[in-house]
Amino acid sequence: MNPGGGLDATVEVTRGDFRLRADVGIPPGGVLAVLGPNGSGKSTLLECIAGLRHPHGGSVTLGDRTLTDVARGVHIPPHRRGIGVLGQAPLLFPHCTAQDNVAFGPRARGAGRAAARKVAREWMERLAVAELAARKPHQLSGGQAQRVALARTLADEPGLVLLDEPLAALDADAGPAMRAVLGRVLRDGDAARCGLLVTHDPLDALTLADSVIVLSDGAVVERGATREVLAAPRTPFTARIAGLNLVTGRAVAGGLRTVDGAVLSAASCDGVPVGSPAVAVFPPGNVAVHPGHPAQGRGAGNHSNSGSAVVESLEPHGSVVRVRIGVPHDSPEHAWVAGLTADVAPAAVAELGLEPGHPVEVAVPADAVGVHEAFTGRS
Amino acid sequence: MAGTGNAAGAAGAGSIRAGRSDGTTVAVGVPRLLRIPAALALALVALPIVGLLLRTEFTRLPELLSSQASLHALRLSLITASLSTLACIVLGVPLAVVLAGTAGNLGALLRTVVLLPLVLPPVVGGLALLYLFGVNGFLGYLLDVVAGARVPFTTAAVVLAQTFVAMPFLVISLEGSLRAREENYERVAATLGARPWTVFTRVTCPLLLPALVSGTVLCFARALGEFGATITFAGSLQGVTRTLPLEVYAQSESDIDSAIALSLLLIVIAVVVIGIARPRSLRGRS
Repeated sequence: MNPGGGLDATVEVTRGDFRLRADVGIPPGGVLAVLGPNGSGKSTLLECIAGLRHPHGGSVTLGDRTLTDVARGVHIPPHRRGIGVLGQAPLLFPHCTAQDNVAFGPRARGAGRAAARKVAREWMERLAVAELAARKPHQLSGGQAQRVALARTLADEPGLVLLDEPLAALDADAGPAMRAVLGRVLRDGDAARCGLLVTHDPLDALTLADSVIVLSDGAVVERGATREVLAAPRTPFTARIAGLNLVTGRAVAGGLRTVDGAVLSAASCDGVPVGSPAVAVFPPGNVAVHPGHPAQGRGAGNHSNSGSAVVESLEPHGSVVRVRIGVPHDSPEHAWVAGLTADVAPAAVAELGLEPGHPVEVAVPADAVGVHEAFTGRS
Repeated sequence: MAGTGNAAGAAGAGSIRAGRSDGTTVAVGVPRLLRIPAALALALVALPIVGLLLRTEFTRLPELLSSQASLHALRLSLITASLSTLACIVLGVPLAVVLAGTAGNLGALLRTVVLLPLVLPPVVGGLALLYLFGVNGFLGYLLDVVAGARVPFTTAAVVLAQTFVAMPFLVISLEGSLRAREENYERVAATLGARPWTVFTRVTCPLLLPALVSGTVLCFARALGEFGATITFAGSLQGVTRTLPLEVYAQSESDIDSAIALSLLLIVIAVVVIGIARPRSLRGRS
């Protein structure tokens, strides 16, 4: 029922000390991922777009329809926006069967019982939940319920689907299956429908979205094509969710000088002008950790970027142990290693006797390091 | 201190109580000291009913209950309590919805007013109704002059009195679950294209059904047992305003056996009502 078209939204919300000011654009048929730490304003942004919250300023247009325009006093209520929402919890109406849930949207918009049921059947078949039609929500598993909820959202044929961490509450088995289903409907879907996905997981962003914005403290701090942003993060938050280490400083020839004066050599410098703010990025798997002897350690520092510090914590991370490096005690020029993560094989952790508080030598080979221009404010 | 004493005693004697082995979870024990007042409280509630049962002449029960006066009272009670329950639903549900949506001082004030009949002695309520609807009351005067209708001492007065005292039970029960609910379902329904009225009828109301059922049953029970406000505002006219509780009161002065038989009937109805209402209200909370 919706004419479709892209989303163009600028939203301003002030709440106490918190200020959200974000602009997002999604082309018709596109999917945008919104990444950001808790409290960065992602859900507030979504609510403003869905019409569930009145922003203090800004506007929202979908295709050629103006849905919100604070300056002109326009606020189309949520039920007339044609924007579907799917959150962490499926929120299926507990008193309706799965099929009646899916048929709710068409019914609410005035479709007859039979017509609504037909639409519901089609969507349930597309999402492979047709056999659950007669079940009540409490008889569904988490993954099944979330699929039915997705069918319900799509059966309403929204011009824009807002997905607010739709996989976050699913278990390890249901998550990937649901991600595949989402990928299918977002990709093979209607060119008129665009999507906005809030997530913590870089994999969701990579597999489901074409572009990404990163929100931090209510502002957009990064934006671009998903692959590019995640491969070359410019803010510590993006680096962390991309699972990469990030060191800030200024570009020098063949590397980066940290704020503490250490120089990291890098294999690729991405054409960053010398002297401009830059970040060095490298994966935890390329960071080597050895039991440290500060006296020897300093000598080895020049070839492969290295520094001595202490182990802050150890935690299992898939098949490896992720070692977090703490602040060096006695060598301020090595401050850049604080907060780095290194992935070490469990056997090596045992062999080296790594434990929190132990002094270690951290080394990063230059060919694992990429230097990129740092994010400097506006994008 | 008693606790450590017990623990030490049990451990010292090596007397570990035979544990269950049925997979149930272990509950933190209830202090034994509480059992004494608890037993007294239970006795206070249960023993009078036992006393009534002991005094009942069960063989004469059918005869006593089928007397003209008893049947009139029973019929009148069922009709008036049903009507007042209906009035409570029709007026109380919207009131609960409006109250739940009213925040701040106004909400607190309105809630106090709604609760008033719950804490007021029913006789006072009856008197208040009398001075509103009586010939000297402003609404009563108006009704008399405009429509020639007099409310006090009619069956309508019984229904009014019952509605007055029973309304808070429904409103409070509903408003509580309205305020406790997450509005997420309603928000989802709105994004699916449902107008506010559709959201109310197709999502809010079905979700409130358990609270509505238990509230309605409580409301009916309260209306059925109404005495003070009824006798003050509607009097005790057989077949017109003399409901079961009033009949019990009237009979207790002349025919005590009959009064006891009617009391027993009210107890049976009360037990049935609790049986219907209790599981529902538990389900509503879970």
